Amino acid sequence: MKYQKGQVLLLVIMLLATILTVTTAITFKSTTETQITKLEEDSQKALAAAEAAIEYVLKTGVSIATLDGLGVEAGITGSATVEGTLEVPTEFITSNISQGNQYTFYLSEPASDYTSFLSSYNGQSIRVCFNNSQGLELTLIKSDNTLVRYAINPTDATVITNGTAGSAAAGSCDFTVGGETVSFNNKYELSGVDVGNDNLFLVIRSISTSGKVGLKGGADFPLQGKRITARATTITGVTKSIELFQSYLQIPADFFVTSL
Amino acid sequence: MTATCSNGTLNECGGNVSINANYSDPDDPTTAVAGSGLDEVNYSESSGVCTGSKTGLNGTPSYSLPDAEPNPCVVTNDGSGVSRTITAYGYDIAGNGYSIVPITYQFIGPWYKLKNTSFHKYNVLSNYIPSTVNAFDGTDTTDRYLVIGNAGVVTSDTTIDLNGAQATTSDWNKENSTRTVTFTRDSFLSYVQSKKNYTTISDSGAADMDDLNGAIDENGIYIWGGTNLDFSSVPAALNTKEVIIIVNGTATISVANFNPAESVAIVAESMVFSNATTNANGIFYGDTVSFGTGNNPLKITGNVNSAATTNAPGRERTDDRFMPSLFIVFNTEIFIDLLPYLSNTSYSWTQLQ
Repeated sequence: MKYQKGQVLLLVIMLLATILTVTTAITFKSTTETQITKLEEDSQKALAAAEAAIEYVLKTGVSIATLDGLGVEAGITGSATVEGTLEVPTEFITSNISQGNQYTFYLSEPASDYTSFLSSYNGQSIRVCFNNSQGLELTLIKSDNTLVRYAINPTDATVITNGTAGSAAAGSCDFTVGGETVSFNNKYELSGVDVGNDNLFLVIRSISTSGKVGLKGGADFPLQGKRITARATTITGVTKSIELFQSYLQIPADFFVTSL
Repeated sequence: MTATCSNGTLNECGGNVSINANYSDPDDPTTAVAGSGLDEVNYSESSGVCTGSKTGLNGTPSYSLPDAEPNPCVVTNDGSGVSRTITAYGYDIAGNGYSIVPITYQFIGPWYKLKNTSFHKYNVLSNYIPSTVNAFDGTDTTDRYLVIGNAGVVTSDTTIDLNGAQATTSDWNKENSTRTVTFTRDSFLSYVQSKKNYTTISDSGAADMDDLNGAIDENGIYIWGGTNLDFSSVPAALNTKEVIIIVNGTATISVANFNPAESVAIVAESMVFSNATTNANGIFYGDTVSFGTGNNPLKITGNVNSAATTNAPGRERTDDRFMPSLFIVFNTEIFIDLLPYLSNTSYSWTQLQ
């Protein structure tokens, strides 16, 4: 009889221990989930606040805007700033260029109304970086309205019949974007003599496949547009930082390439 | 039996083809000999314009046919660009048959040429460039290329056939290359209305050009408030202002010489060049484009863009078929002048932290 009572006590203790463990685990998980939910919520608030600051800068044209008075949640601090240079002044990566379309890269700084241009990138080389399978047509537009064109093939394919072959980038087409490295497989060098003087634009058209194109210069490039960085921090210390790049005016291929 | 071309060669005839239906008995061309001499002669030309036959010649040593029709028989150049054949045969009175080696000829069809531009042809790029090329005018050359000057890459949805000519001096080209159309008239109009300043021109019911002159008072974008717009003359306003005019329906250039002094772009659902138009300066965009028909050559200085396949050159000059019937010369200056208006902006977001 004594032996049976001992067994029951043991079982009860084990049962209580199990219940205690499960309860503790549930409580911990619930607390953690609440904390994570709060963290995500604060992240989204910070992100939204940063976006609001950028939108305000775009809309008003100011060069700096703080979050005060923008209607964001109380306690969130931060600002948006129009940057005066490219992230790396001698580097630029275009937005994605779809097949048959183009990107207008500025070699002269335009006036605010685009009625005049300040010639700024003269006699310096440009390394054009691009990926496999992407054939490019490059058009240098000069201030006297003349054109110089190039047709470039990647190393892995002859995309453009009779085009000029690019070469392997071999590490010379690595770019820094937001602290991370972006790499391209192929390159084509426009020498300083090729580029010459009195340039307005370099129009880059993708003949095949979509993709971005990277450019490295022998000197600082013109701004290429408006780069706005914004940073917002919540009262709990969650910080979000974003960047918007608004390009200078682009000439659509739909009007530039004769199409019939 | 012989055939000659009045301008060019039989293989590439820019003029008319004359068929000289003269026969001789191949056995004895000069003497009527019993059992010899012509009995029957025939010829036919595959378009059906010239045919002839004659029987009962009773051994004559030579004969010109047709005798009731002109000889030579002239086939007028119709610019068909297709190969045709002249065949002839006959018999002498001995019953011996003979035939000539078929003569083939081909009229040059209408063709087009471009300068200083990149080019994309929707569907098939088939443009018969003759072996000998004459210049359209002083801005053209006799180079046998589709695109002369500072040419870019020539692409086609499918194949490229230029009768053996190169696409450009560097012959940069790509077949089986489709283009992603970014802007149609509709989407460009939407973009303008959301991102740019513009003015709407009311269609008062008076002459369209009067409405334009009354409304265009500064450089910028103007949207025609009516449906169709006929440029029956060059509005005076286009001689002083740099503009884009967006037309909901059909924009027609009906004046013979559309030469505004300032830069202009017309964006329409349908872009039409009338048969009477021989010169047009500007950037002309249409979801569809028509170059008209008729025999007047057309020169466009600026650019032309369509969102769909176009019948080019459409018209057919007959004064000199070794010249292009359509000549498009790209003008960079118009793009620079209209950059604030004929443009869009790209945006990219990056999360840094």
